[in-house]
Amino acid sequence: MTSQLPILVAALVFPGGVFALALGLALKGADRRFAARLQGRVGPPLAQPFFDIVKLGFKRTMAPDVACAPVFFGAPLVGAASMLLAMTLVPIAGVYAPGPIGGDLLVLIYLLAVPGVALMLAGSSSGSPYGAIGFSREMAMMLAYEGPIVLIVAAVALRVGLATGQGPTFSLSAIVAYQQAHGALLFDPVMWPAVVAFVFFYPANLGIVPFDIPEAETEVLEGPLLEYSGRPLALFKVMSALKAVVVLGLGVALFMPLPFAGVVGLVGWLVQLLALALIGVTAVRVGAGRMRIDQAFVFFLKWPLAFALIGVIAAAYFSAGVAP
Amino acid sequence: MLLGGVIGVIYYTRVVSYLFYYPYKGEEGVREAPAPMLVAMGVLAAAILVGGFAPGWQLNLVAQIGDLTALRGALASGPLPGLVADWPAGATIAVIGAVAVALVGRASAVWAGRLAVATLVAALVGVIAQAGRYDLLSLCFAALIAAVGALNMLHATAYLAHSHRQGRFFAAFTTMIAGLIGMTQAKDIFSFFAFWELMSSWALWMAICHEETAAARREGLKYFIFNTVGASFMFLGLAWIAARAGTFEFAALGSALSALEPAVVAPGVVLVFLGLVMKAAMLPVRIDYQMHPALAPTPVSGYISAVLLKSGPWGVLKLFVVFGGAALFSKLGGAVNGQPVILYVISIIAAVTILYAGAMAVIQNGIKLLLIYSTVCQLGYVLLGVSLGTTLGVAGGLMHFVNHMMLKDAMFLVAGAVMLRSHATTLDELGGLGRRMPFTFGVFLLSGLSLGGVPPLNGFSSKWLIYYSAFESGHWALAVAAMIGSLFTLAAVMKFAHAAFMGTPTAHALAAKEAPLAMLIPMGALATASVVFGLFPGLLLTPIAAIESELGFAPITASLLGPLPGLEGWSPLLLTALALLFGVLLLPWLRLGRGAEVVRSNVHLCGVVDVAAEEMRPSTARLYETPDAVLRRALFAPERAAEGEEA
Repeated sequence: MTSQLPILVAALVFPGGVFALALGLALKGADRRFAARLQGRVGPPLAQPFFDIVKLGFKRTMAPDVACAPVFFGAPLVGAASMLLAMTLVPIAGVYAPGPIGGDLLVLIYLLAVPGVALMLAGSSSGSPYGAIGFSREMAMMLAYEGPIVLIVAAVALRVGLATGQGPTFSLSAIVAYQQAHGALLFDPVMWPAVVAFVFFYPANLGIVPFDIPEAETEVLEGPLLEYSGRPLALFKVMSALKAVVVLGLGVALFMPLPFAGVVGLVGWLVQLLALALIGVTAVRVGAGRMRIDQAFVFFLKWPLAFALIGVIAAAYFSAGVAP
Repeated sequence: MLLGGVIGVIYYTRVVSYLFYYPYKGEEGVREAPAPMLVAMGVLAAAILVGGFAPGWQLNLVAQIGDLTALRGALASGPLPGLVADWPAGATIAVIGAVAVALVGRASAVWAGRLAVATLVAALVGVIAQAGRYDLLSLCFAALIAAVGALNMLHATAYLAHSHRQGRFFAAFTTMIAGLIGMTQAKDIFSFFAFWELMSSWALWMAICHEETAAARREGLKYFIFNTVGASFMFLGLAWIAARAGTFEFAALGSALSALEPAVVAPGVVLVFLGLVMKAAMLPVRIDYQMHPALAPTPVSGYISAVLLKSGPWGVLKLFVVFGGAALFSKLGGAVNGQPVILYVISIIAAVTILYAGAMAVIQNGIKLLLIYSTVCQLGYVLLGVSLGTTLGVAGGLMHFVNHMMLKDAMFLVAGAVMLRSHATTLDELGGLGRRMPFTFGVFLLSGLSLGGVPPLNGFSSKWLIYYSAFESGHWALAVAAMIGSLFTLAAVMKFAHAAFMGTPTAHALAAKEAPLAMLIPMGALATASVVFGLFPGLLLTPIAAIESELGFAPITASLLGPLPGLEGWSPLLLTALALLFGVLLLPWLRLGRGAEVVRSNVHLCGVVDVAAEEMRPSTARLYETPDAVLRRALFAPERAAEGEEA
């Protein structure tokens, strides 16, 4: 089953397209249910995110009179499309190995910036002052977390590339294949600083508490999303659901792909994703409070950046001569 | 002697500046000088012109005297350069056109503008007609110089429609372009330097000082001095090399230099490359001294940013090969991982500049300053790629060379359109222009996001090649710097887009209307070219492969419709097609077509009704408050003044 799927199938059916959409919304449902249980509530049914999308489909579309309409409606479209595209680049160990032609790790991490850009454009084009503040905070967060992820990616590429005796490799398929053969990088002490940095990176990238500052409901009324309603809002919800799958899938591919293949590999991957979503996302967002934007920015320049820097230096200087 | 020359040039420039670029304050009724005086001056001026056009007469005299002296002192007579610069058709057309434009400009500014555009189109034809005279790299550069020049000139005719002395500006601009075209085809050191001077000294200065304000004169002079000093380093280096090698011809230089001791050649080569790197506004000491001034008319700013400064990376590549390539350079101070030390140093300078200039761009508030800092940052990418000296690196550098030319020029032209329609110079005065100037905004957003490295647009493709090649040649730290620098560009672009085109509209914005056609055509052409090159990188990579094999590098594998080169080369065409497919599939969901029921409402303000919309705008200066403050501290830039004190 590791054979390469035709690109259209990969993009529209599995693992992108319909499959990713369903998976993203299901994870969102599990997240809401688990969060409710942690807070002593019953919580919505697991399918609630699906119902929400359908419900929004029946609502009227509203737009502010001062909005720049093409950008206002284009932003959710671009954001959702970018994440559908990104799904075709994320490998599933033993199940799906994307070919080089669709893009490598470098393309993927820059594609991951597109939803942020879409949210910034959304907040900015709406003409709302809350949107403008959301824009400002989104950009600040992006400046904060993008440095660590670039360094993390460089660390992994150097580690795998130097261990196999080539230059740094940015092929996610090759990175996964290496770990399947030699053990996950999660258990490699040289990579631990990078793993720690990634643990800080993904909540910021996904915009969850304590880093949900751009869309803070109680401060800026969801910032960029404030003026959205109906179908465009549904697209943004789809975008963030897909983004969770992409980012968690990226984390799995970079640090802990399972050494299985076929159906076992797929089920194992789904379990990993679900566990990460519940422990790494839900528990964190329920248990933490929101940081201020200046605190978060300075925090990222200190700790995650330092860990990522140590990680990349370690990978560069302790990787030469690792047995292939 | 050289120092004296530099001081003299500055001195005379000041005199010219007083004569022509200061408003006249003396008494009324100054008349032309009496005839005898005019005759005397005319004869002297004619003598200078004759000396310039036919230096052979003077030179023969000097050579004879030199030979005589050498004979008496029993010295070997040194070679003298043939001081006749070799004029290609493109440059000749442009210079004759410039004179004509200046003359026509006295009668009709409109016709001077049209003539200037026609001149540059003719120069483009002249370049292509003489394709055999250039090497492939220079031919492509020369064609781009003329083509982009014509677009910018068209934009300038609209930008300056209500300005003074337009003919003078058009003529200076055209002369500058003539210098660039001449420089690209130079076959010997003297021609190269003569055209380099024509391009970067007085013509440039005249174009920059056009506005005749005190600030424009001051900044123009500052840039002029900087250019002259840079050119002087290069002149010293070239003179040194020519004297040691005993030849002025590029073709003979490589073999002559390789026969010499490395220690003899090294100082000259270092000086020349210092001049080139200075031209590209690298050396992150005080970039604000090296950058072209923001006060120049915007089309010429765009041209300097997009095209003229590219003569730095072009010169690095061209002279690297002329001087004997990696074989010679590896002898000069050795090599690190197979990369000659001189190039290694340039790579590091480029990477530091990417970060420094990128961060400076983020904290700017002036419409053009932001773009200019971003230019310096992007030139860092070009220079980084080229100086890696590997197959992929040179390909990436050259690809970014062209992509940045189109993208940044489009952004400058947009800035020109915005300034024409809103009469603003800082971002704070703008806001919400997107609804009034949708086409302009579209061009800006497309170019900006592409330059900011959003895949799968063309700006990302070329940056990807540069990252990849930097990693591949072992410079992971430089690659990481380049990748983070890309984010700074994105932040600067988004700041511009938000402050100028989106957000709550200001009074300036509500009075604006879409740019005139003469501006829309060049902007549209550049944006279209970017999209086409983005979809089909092969259109750029195929000529680049040919250039590489001509320059002696192993060429990349490229096909017209194929993916990017390299082991993990991906296909922008495929990615764009997929993204468009998703867009088309999702679009019906939004139900925006005919009969769409979109309700337009007021923005939600929590019931606040007594605050004006403008007062609710976060000011541009405060937009990136925390990152702004941190970057300022890191860059030793002055703290932002408190809100009330800002001018």
